[in-house]
Parts: sequence; C-alpha cells; structure tokens
Amino acid sequence: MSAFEFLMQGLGTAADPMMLLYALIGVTLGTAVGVLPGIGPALTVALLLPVTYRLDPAGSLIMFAGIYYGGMYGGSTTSILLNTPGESASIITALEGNKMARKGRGGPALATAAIGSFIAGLIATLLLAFLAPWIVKVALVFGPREYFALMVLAFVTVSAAFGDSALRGLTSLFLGLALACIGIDQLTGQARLSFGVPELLDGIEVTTMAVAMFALGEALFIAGQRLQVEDEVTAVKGSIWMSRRDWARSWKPWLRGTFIGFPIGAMPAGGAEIGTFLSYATEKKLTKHPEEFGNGAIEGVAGPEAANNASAAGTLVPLLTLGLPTSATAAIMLAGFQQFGLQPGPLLFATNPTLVWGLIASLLIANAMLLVLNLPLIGLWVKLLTVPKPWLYAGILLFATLGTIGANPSAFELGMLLGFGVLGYVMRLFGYPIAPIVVGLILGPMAEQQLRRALSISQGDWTTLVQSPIAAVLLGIAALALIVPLILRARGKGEVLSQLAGEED
Amino acid sequence: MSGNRHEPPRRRDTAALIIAAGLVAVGGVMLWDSARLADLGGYSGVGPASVPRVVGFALIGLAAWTAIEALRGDFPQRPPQNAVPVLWIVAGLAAQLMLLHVAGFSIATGILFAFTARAFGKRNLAMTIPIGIVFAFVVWAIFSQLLMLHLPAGPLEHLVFPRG
Amino acid sequence: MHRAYHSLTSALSTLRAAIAVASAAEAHRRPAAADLRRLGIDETKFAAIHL
Repeated sequence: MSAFEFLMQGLGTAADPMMLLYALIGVTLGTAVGVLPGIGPALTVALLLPVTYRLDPAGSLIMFAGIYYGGMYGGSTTSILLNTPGESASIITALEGNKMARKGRGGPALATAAIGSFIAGLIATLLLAFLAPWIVKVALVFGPREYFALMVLAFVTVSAAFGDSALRGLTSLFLGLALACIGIDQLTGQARLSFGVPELLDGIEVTTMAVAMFALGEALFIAGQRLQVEDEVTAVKGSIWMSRRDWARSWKPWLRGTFIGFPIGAMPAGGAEIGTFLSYATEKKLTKHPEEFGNGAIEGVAGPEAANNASAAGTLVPLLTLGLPTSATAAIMLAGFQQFGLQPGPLLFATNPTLVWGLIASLLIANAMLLVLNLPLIGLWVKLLTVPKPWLYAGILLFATLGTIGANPSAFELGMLLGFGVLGYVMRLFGYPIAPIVVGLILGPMAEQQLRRALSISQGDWTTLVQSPIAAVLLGIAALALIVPLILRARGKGEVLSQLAGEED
Repeated sequence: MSGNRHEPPRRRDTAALIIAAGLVAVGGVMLWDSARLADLGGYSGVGPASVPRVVGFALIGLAAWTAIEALRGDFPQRPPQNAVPVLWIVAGLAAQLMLLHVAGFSIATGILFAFTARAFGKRNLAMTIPIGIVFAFVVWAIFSQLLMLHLPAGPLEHLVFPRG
Repeated sequence: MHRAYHSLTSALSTLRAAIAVASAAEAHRRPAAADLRRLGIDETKFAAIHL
C-alpha cells in the first residue's frame, strides 16, 4: 500500500468519535498550556502519563500529539498580547508580534500566527506521512549496533553539540545515564545501585523525574527571580482579519518557515525554538521592508510561527520511524508509548499500522481543530492570561504532585519528586540544560541493551560496532557533532573579539 | 560565554568546585557499586557492571573538567535569586510529603498550594490555606471518585465520602 | 570553492547562533549580544521580552 492509502485508512481510524474526543481534549489542553507561561507540552504530557495509564493507548497517544501541536499554537498568543512567551518556541514571536499588538494590529498578528501554524502543520504532517514509509524501509535492516549508534548520535546532539557548553550538556546527560542504571538489570536480573532500598529496584520513574525537572525546577526558579515583571495584556483592537497586503506579505514566510522548521525538528538538535530563530534571521534578510523589523513586521511573526509547528511535526519523524526522541517533549512521548508496552520504530509500522497511521492522520484533524480553537475563540484564551501568578503556580504544583501521588502514593516517591525538583532548580541556576538528563534517563537503558546485544552477537568484539557501514557513518557523525561545535565555539569567541574591535561582518 | 561584555576579573568559582566534588562522589558511588556486582559478561565480555563503570569514569572525568572551568572562572554568572520564596515552596512540598498519609490529600496539598501562592506574593496564609484545601478537595473528588486514581484520603475526605 | 566554503561556514555559524540564543532563552538567561546580532535581532528590543 502507498503512504496515501495508509493515510486514508488512518483518517478512518481517527474519525472515530472517541478518537476525535481525545484529539479535542489534547488540542484544548495543549493550547491552554501553550498560553500559560511556566508550563509546556513536555510537562503536560508527563503529568498526564499516570492519569492515562488505564485509558486507550491510541487515544492517549493522539491526545499527547494534540498537546504538542496545541502548545505551538498557544504560545504565540501570550507572546503577542503579553510580551511574555508562553513557550520557548514563541520567544521570537514576541519581538515583532507584541509591537504589532501595541500598534493596534494584534488581530492580524494572531491571525498570521494561527493560519501560518495551520499551513505549516498541514504541510509538515503530510511530509511526515510520505517520508515515514521510506525511513521505515531503511530502518528495517537496522540491527542492535545500528540502533546503538543512532542513540549515541542522539546523546551527543542533545547534550554536547548544540547547547552553549559541551561540559554542562554532557554532565547533564551522564547524570541521566547514571540514574538510568538504578534498578534491576534487564538482562541478568541483578540489582544495581539500589543500596538495599526496595523502592529503587524498579528504577527511577520517568514521570516523577520529568515532572520534578520541568514543573518544580521551573517554579522554584521563577519564584526566586528577583526581577518580577508585572504582565499587562494588550487588548486586541481593530479588525482581527488580515488585509490583502498582510496575506501577500505572509504566505512566503509561512512556506519558508515550514521548510526551515521541519528538518530542524527532525534533526536531533533539540527543540522547536531553533528553527524559529533561523526563520526570523531569514525573513529579516529577505524582507522588502527592513525598516519595519523591530517595529512590528508581520513577516517576523508569520515565519517563526510556521517554523515551530513544522518542527513539532519534524520531531515526530525520527520518533515514530526510529524510536529516537530529538527533544524533551519527544522523549516524554516515547515514555508514553512505552507505558502502553509499545516501542516506536519500524516494527510498529508493521505490527500496529492502525495505531501509527491513526496517530498521523489525527494530527491533520487536530491541526484543523486548532485553527478553529485559536482564531474565533481567541478571546477565551486571553481570559486565561489574567490568572494571577500565585494561583497559577500553586495550581501547577498541585497538579504536579497529583500525578506522582496518583501513580504511587508513597512518601518515598514524593521525596524523590522534591529531591529532583531541587536538582532541577540547581541545574537551572548553574546553566545546565534539562533535556539531556531526561533523554539520558529514557534512552539510557535502551542504548545499554542494544550495545550488549550487539556485543554478544559479535562475542565481545568491539570492532563490530563500526563494521556495519550505517553504524560507522552514524558514529562518525556523532564524533563530528561532538568535535565541530567545540571548534565553532572557539571561533565564536574570536568573532566576539573582532566585533568588539568595531568590525562588522 | 556569558552575555556580559564587562566581565569582572575572573576568579575561582567555589560553588562550581562543590559541583565538581559532587560529581566525583556520584562517579565514585557508581564505581563502588559496580565493583560489587558479579560480572556475568558471558561471551560478550560486557555485563551488568560495565555500563555503570563507564558512566562512573565519565562522571569523574567531567568533574575534572568542571574543576578546571571553575578555577578559570568560566562558569556563567548566576542570575540573582531570592532564597525566601524558594524555601517556601520547598517547605510546602516537605509539608505535603509528611502530612499526606496523616491528614489526607486535600489538607496536605492545600498547604502546598498556600505556601506556593505565598512564594509568589499572596502572603495571607489565613486566606490561602482554606482556599487551597477546598480546591485540593475538589480535585481529589474528581480524580479519585470519577477517574479512579488512588489518592490518599484523610479525615476530611472520610467526612464527605464515608465510603471513599 | 572558496565561496562555497564561505557560505557554508556562514550558514553554520548562523545555526550555531540560533542554537545558542535558543538555549540561553530557554534557561531564562540573556543571550550573547554577538549571537543576537548574527540573527538580526536588536539587542535592546530582545531584552524587553519577559523571558
């Protein structure tokens, strides 16, 4: 069957009323968390994992994907009306979007963000559907050593290659890998690093750790900030519809944003926000109205907002076809699959095509729901912005602990939550990235298993890891991804110096 | 790599040195634990102790790197932070942890709610604690009665739902 | 050949700047001025966003 036929079949699955309901809940929650500063899609999915434990796997996964897409839509609202990005992927939107809102053009700014998100989501989801079978075909020949190489590549790119410090990224990653070792060894049944504590035999719960890192660490950090800004909502004045001129200036940035965001999301580079900055830089270079940039140029909203939605779809390519998460949210979604005993990857396309294609097709439906949710109903979301910070964070902490207590109502689990929360706070304070420790905890056991399998096939011969061309290339890229940024960073320091000397490039 | 152009003269970063020491400790514990494991490598030569050992050595190596950066003052500047609100939230979480099984979900979580609100500027605990308890009770009722999540019940919950 | 090399390094350093700004912003830190400039973002205007 072709990708098109699979997609049509998937649409049949996704059009089931229950699935539609799950998708609707997902996109509504996603928009809400996108609008609210302080909680993102990664945290929301982590919070929902224990609650969805008993629900339908396909429905839950459709809901999770809806949350991811919805977060990308909702984040732009706060950026534009409040100058406070609800999501890191919407930071750049604040730059031009809030200026537009202050000039009374908030409506067109919100419209170009929502329509751009829709178009990008549509194109990128179709790209996902048509690329996936190809990648699956390649990945079917993958053995343990290829998977191990792939995971090493993910480790390097998530931690070392792209943060601002290889040292802190790697430290965060290895702390995650250390935590992943705790518990009973999967192959021999020996207890590792459990120190006779029975609660540790099951290992560290991914949800506890993710909730602590994202919710508690963030809440502690925001509470401690000395500079508390008072947010002020800029009312939407004038028409919310885009003029003919706005359309003419928006459509090219939408398309460019899509084609920048999609590959960046699929790359194991971490996060949808990178594509938004690149899209902004591109639009500024290509614009015919350079004087408007910094004062409310619509291209600066259209491009980045398309880019972040395309990134979200791009992230799903390696996640679904290879089982490889490239961002924190994808890593938590992987944990969601595993909770239902499902392992994303080429085999899932063969063993459970209804689920995979239903999920992909539901993204198209979710995308259309989001357009309705975010344009005509924008007023509702603006009301959400008026929730005062103390109540907002008190509520976040309530639900954060609710998830942990619901999964395991023990003082030990809550103690772990508190401990990891403080760890997350300290890591933020010292500039350690959070994504690597989460990815390390989730991918660590899988990487170890693949490595040990590969080595037992080769009877302990380590050179087997580079004897397959695919594995060798992947490991080579991983090595490059570790070394090249170190060189670029050294060069970057040189650039700063030359610019200080008054020299522009 | 901090964004500040006028950096103060670089000096030893004691806090970062403490982090380095902590990393050595974690790495040391991993090596100690892996030495205890029987290495059932089979013919692969890689057993349950191998990966912890590699991670342990890597952490000690990263600790050395951290120490070097700390001595050179290469760590980014810490954002200024107020300790008091942070401690309120930690206290709220600790209170919830200790009260959960004694007082039930609503009361324990209500206190966490109020303490968090206080950390963000709602100082009147006489008002926020009751609000928190009521809110937590509503959440408890929804999640334990409708979604069948196991949330510990206390006197308050037993009062309203005698069976629950 | 030289031109191609030049445009490749330029693209790479734009990517690097985007990643640096993204990771700084996500951690609520102020990104380096040089990185912002590389992306065509005005430093003072960026500072006005409440991260």
